[in-house]
Amino acid sequence: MAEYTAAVEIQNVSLIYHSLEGGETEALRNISFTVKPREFVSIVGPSGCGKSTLLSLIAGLLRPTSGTVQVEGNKVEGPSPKVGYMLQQDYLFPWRTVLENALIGLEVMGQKDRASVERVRELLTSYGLEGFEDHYPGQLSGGMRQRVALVRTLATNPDICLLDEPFAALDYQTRLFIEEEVGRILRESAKTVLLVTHDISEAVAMSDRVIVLSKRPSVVVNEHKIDLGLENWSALAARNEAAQFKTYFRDIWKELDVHA
Amino acid sequence: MPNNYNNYSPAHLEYLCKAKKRRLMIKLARILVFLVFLVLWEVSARLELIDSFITSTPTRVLGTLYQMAGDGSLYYHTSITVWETTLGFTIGTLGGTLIAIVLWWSKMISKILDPYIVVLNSIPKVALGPLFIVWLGNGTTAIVAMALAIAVIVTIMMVYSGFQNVDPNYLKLMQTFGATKWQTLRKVILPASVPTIISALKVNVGMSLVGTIMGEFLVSKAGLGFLIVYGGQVFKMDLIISGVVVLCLVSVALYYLVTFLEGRMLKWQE
Repeated sequence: MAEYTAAVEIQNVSLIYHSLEGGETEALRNISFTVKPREFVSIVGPSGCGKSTLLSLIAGLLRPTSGTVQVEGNKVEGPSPKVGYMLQQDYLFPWRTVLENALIGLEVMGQKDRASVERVRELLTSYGLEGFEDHYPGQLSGGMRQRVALVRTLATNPDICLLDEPFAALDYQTRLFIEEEVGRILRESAKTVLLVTHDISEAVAMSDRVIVLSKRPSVVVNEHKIDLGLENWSALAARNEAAQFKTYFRDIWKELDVHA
Repeated sequence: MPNNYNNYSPAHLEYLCKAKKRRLMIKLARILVFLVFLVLWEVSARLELIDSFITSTPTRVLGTLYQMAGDGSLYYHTSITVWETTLGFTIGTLGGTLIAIVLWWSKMISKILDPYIVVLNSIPKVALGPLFIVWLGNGTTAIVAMALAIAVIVTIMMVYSGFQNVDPNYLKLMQTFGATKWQTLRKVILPASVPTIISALKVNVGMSLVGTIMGEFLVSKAGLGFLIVYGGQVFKMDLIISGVVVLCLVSVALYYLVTFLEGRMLKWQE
């Protein structure tokens, strides 16, 4: 095991986009933060502030204009099996069955064998998808599809999971339910999680820490260590029972400085 | 869908019954329109309301077809046209898809070739016919080239735009797993474009047939196109209309063949 104290370390990262129509766009300005192993961190910020861009940097899909991005002590040079990414929607391939969808990452990485398929089957079973392995995504509910997407991300066994507003496309009730479930699964499997969202209450309910970004060009406005005093983590309990929930919400709301 | 009629309420059964009747009505009406047309044609020719030398009659067309079926010429000409169409169709579809893949692979190449494809798409390919005949000889090769020329450009345009319409988030997903371009092509772009490729096939069946008939018009040795042109030259309307009738049947058969393939390839869409 390499020695590292930070699962993800972002140092003085800036990013400037170039385009023929829009000219230069400064998306991120001098951003620094770290995520400790097994920590659940949320990033909130106004729409279009470059939250997803940050995730793309960590996933190795983009390079920063300046500054460094490190994952487990190594500079990010491209996509790495250590990092799993969950997109805004499930993006399951409609022509693949549930099992085939869950296996796509292993297939691409050339790690699909009997043992890994067995492991994915077990994951599907433990997340309530038993009996649906050979169904097509079109036959599943939104919540189930999102769970398949989670299994797909976990199938390659990443240490760090990046979640890019993964619940945004779900209806409110399903969303509360899936939040709870995904949060529990990720905590139980001891993953480091970085969740991007514009939903403050989701961020507070899900995370150990919330990082607030400003609008473009984004800088880190503040960080909040979340301690709701709950005995066992539960997003629902956080929303309904924790007294400090509202305080966190109000503080972050102020910092977001939203003017519609 | 549950198929158990016992589960339905009387109101729903009545609704189903009505829907069934309506579908039957439409089918009957379609057949009726055809029959009325044939009868009017035949009767007005017999009553000499129209000149049957120019219009022929259904019975004479049937007679011609029967006689041609007897001496084997019907099978001979039809099989030649079907064979040429199939060749043009297959090579056009495969070649067009291959070129579309190249265009997808290299944005640079696609940008450079864009205006050429637009121009090739808009010129009437029949204008190239004489060139093909000079280059490829007065035979099957020129005819297939004609069919190919028509089918290939349409395929390139349809399939390439299908590739481009694949949701970029699918590609992003593949990237996060570190997929190579080849993997992305095989596992995402091609399967996602199967519906587009099938629509291209459907269009191509018609296009290749048009190309083949045009080629046969120009080359005039054998095939349904030759039959029709020959019929025109010797003023045998029976022959022209027989040719057109067989052509109709051929195009319908080819179209349904593709539709059948579509059903088998798109199981997941059910």
